[in-house]
Amino acid sequence: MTAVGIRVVPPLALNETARLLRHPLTVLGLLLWILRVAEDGWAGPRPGFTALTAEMIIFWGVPAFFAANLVASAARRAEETLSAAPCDRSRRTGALCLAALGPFALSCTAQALMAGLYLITGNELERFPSLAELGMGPLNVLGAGLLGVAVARWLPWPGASVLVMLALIVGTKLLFDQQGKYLLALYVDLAVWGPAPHLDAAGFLPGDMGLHALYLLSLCLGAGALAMLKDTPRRELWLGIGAVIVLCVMITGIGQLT
Amino acid sequence: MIRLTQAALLARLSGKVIRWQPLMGALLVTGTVLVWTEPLTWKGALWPLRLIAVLLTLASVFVLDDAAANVVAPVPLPLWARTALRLGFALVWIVPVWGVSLLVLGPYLPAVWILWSTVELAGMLVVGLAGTVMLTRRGMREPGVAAAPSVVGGTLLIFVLPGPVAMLTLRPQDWTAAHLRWSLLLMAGLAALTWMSRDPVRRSTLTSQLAGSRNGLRVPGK
Repeated sequence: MTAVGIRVVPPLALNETARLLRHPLTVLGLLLWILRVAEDGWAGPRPGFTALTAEMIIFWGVPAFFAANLVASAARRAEETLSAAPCDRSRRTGALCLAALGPFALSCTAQALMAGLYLITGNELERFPSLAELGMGPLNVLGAGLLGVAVARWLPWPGASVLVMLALIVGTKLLFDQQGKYLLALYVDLAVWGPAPHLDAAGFLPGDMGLHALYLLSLCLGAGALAMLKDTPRRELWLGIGAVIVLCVMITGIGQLT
Repeated sequence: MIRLTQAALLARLSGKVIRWQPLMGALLVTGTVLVWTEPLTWKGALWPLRLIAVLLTLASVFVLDDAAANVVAPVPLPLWARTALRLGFALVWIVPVWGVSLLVLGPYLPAVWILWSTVELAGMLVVGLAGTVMLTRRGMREPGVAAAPSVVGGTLLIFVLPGPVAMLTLRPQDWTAAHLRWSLLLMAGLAALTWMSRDPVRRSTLTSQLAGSRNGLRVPGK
């Protein structure tokens, strides 16, 4: 990539970030998460902890995936127009991957504000979540954005994104239901459900949450590398980066379980 | 008579160009859900049924994907008839799949839920299709690509609606109110679907007269 080519990427990334943040599904994700936390957050120690740490994964992560996929595939559908621009597909993919940082930053801010609201209102939890536990939601939003771009690049067929999401949900459910392997899932509800109506605190699932956050971050980077691999002229470089990331996923994935 | 012939010809051609893959995919997943589900309670049967309703809606929105829309546009059939034709293809597929799902899971449910879960499916389906037709009117040739994520987003929105306006509630005291809301959604969806399916070129006599007098033109036949 030439110096001129690289200079195109930051303004393009800013433009894509604005598109991604303004996308109706991104706005819907934020709204869904707020609605969910407003209903569950102050209902009791168990739902309060779950609302703050895990709800963002589904209610913001899923729309963020589709928003990124639609923004990325919209560029594909306008390929003839874009082919005249002084910017090839690999740079546009790079810009889209960088743009995924926009919803991530927004979700970090929203999570910090919600945690602050919990503290200000004196919401009684069994214990306050750690930084790694608070980071699960935003990291999933980042991963959803990057995976959305990767799916748009590798599986450019109508309905492919829905199938991938379905596979992710089924995979997550299977992993989360397995004793001792639940931390390998993308959605992790750490608070143990007590007796019905499941409002009281009943302890937490064991596991190294710091390593779980690193595991999620590795998966995010893996999705980004996968997206870049499709159109890059330097395949060996991205394959090498991908191999290192796979190693990181394996180390952190196994490490968090022990 | 000419229109019927045109419709029959178009139906034969549409059957060849329609996007069947999402429908087949949904059929496969629905089969897996039905085989896999071993409900212990009525709630355990209701959630898989709701999942099947979402799957059927997701697959149906791809029925309006039409790569040949520009070619077919001059056919002397109004837009609503062409849309109805494609929606008919979806129904031909949905009705038996839903029927089998009810046969498998229905025995575990209270009798009234057979009707209510069908109202839920109809509401989701009609609103999803109305959104898809709207995207088609805005010039999208592959409206399913944008409509399917919107269906997922809409389902999540329905899922998080709080107590007083909840629509996927399981509390017996809220069943009637929730399904009244589903019925309202269904009617609003039907109205939107009818409105969106009208021919964009064809205008009512009143609209034509108003437009004509504004432009100083004489309306033909007046």
